[in-house]
Amino acid sequence: MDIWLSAMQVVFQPMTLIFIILGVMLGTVLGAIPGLNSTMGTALLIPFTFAMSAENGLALLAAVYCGGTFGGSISAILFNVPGAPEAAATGFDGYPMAQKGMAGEALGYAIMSSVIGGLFSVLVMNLVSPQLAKVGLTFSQPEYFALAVAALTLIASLGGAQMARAFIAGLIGLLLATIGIDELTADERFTFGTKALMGGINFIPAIIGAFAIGEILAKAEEGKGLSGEHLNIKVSTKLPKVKELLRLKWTIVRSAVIGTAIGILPGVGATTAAFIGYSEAVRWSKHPEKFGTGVPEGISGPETANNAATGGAMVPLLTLGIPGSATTAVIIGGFLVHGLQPGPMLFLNQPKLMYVIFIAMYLANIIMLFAGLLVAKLFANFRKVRYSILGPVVFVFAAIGSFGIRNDVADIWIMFACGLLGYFFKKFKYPIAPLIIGLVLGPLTEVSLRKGLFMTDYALGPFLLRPIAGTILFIAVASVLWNLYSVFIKKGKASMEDAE
Amino acid sequence: MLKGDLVFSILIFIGALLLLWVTFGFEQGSALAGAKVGPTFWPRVLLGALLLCSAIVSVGTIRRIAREKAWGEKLLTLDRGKVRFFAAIGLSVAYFLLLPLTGFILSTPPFMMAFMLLLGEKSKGWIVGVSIGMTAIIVVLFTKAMYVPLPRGEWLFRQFSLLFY
Repeated sequence: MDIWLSAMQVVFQPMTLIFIILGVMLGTVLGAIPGLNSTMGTALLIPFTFAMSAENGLALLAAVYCGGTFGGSISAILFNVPGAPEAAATGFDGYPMAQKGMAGEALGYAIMSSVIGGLFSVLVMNLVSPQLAKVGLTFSQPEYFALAVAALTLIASLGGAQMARAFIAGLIGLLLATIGIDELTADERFTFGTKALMGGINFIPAIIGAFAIGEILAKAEEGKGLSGEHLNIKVSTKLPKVKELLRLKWTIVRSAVIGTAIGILPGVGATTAAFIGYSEAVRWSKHPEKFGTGVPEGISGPETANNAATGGAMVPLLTLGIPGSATTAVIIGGFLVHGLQPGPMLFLNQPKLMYVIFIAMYLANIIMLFAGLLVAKLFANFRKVRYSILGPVVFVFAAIGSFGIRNDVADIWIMFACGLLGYFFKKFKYPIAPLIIGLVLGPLTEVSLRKGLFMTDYALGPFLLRPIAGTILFIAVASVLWNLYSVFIKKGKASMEDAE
Repeated sequence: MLKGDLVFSILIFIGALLLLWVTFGFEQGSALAGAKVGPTFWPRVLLGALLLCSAIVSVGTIRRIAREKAWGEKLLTLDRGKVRFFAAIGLSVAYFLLLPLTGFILSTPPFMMAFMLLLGEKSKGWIVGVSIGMTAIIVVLFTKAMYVPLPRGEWLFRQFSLLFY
């Protein structure tokens, strides 16, 4: 208890509080702008933290991390351009909800879900960090493969009656993920001799292209609403009422657990957590067919999971010195500039610092509620701008956001190609979400499957005999079979009605 | 629309077939040539599934066309929307080609102005103000505040960009 009080004394000092508030604001703004993200923000702030105390510096970096993970959802909901990859799944239902004139409600669900997910993961982090880190380390390739398959089964649910089209979109996404140098054998695949493709297809330009550019091209063709006469709407963020939140309680609890657990696994991260959070929200919903049309569960599922992954990713960092995500890898730099080495010894040598980080993250998640409202309000004003002006602005941000990933013009072309694909998908009623899910989960699926097969002497049976992997795979396969069964039942009924 | 849908699914089928053929070039000189799960294993699984799914969609679309007697529909009608669509593609391609040559500052305002006009924007003040203003904001935000480089262009254009970032 003494250690808690002493850590609180540090965190509640005016200067530390100001750093946490600034960190959350900065992270949220960076997350909301395509091309900038919290990883970049933390990296740039590390030199500044050198002049601060270790407590202040690390509290600031943790606050940027929390804010940045949420910020991406603002642009995903308002403009269908996810500011950060972890917000891509939030746009699946957030943007359709905004198109229905409920942008404020969508932002409110995103903010509340992020805050709850973030707080839950910090609570877990500070209660059972060392134990969870050990469980996370027992995960091997079959378990990673099972997790990826479980998330991919979402594709079957997204297609509805048009399941074959959803599978095509997912398979194209998985195929795009194979472009470049093979991770296991270093062979070139589908590069056609071009250097630009050797590094593979980064999923951020692909996501930006498929969603934003596809939408702009479709709008240019339709010609409707470009002058903006329909935009005399007031976008004000509306936090959900307690009753509405209680309706989402299972989605939020499930995603908070999923996000924290996935965050703990090294190298998996908030993006995968968000997709699995969305996937499970669809799987357990009574109305899976409504997902993609703008349902609150479709926002709460991924948004709770991606913010829960922030606390989760800090667990292996603080307890074992292993980063759970790209941003936590950068945060290691924040420890090192103060002569600290994250890991088990840190709990023994610097317990106060550990508790300062825990309390700073609790506080950052609470401040995110207000920062989120403020930044969302600022960005929501852009939705009032007519599309003939907003479209080209979004287009330039999309191009520069893609370029900024690797400072390579090739990424802009990749974005544009994915934009054209997104346009044709939209036109011929192929769902876009499976394409992105395939692209994001492709590397994890392939590498864990191939490495797992090496481990088991090329037999898939042992995957099913491992308790964790077997259970996840069983649930995943059962849900696909259930989806197929439901579709055939519906088709059967429809054809019987036709016959009558 | 149905005929376009059919063409799209057939293109996916043909593309998958071509890529399947391309996979036979992957293992040349590979350390794991002929291995059970070498570099071709996963792409071939995916392409096989893609061939199957695109065939299912193509057959389904053919059956729909036959049912709805839509064989006579035009594949492409060049209305105003299509013209705007192709103009947007042309404009985008021109912008992406110019970006590495003339740099961000010189290529972005004209592109934005042209795109706004294409989308039917009439207010000259908005067109000029937003194009120049957004370019300035992006330059300051990305290069000065976040140290994210933007395309600088070549030759004289590069020298011009270096004056700003």
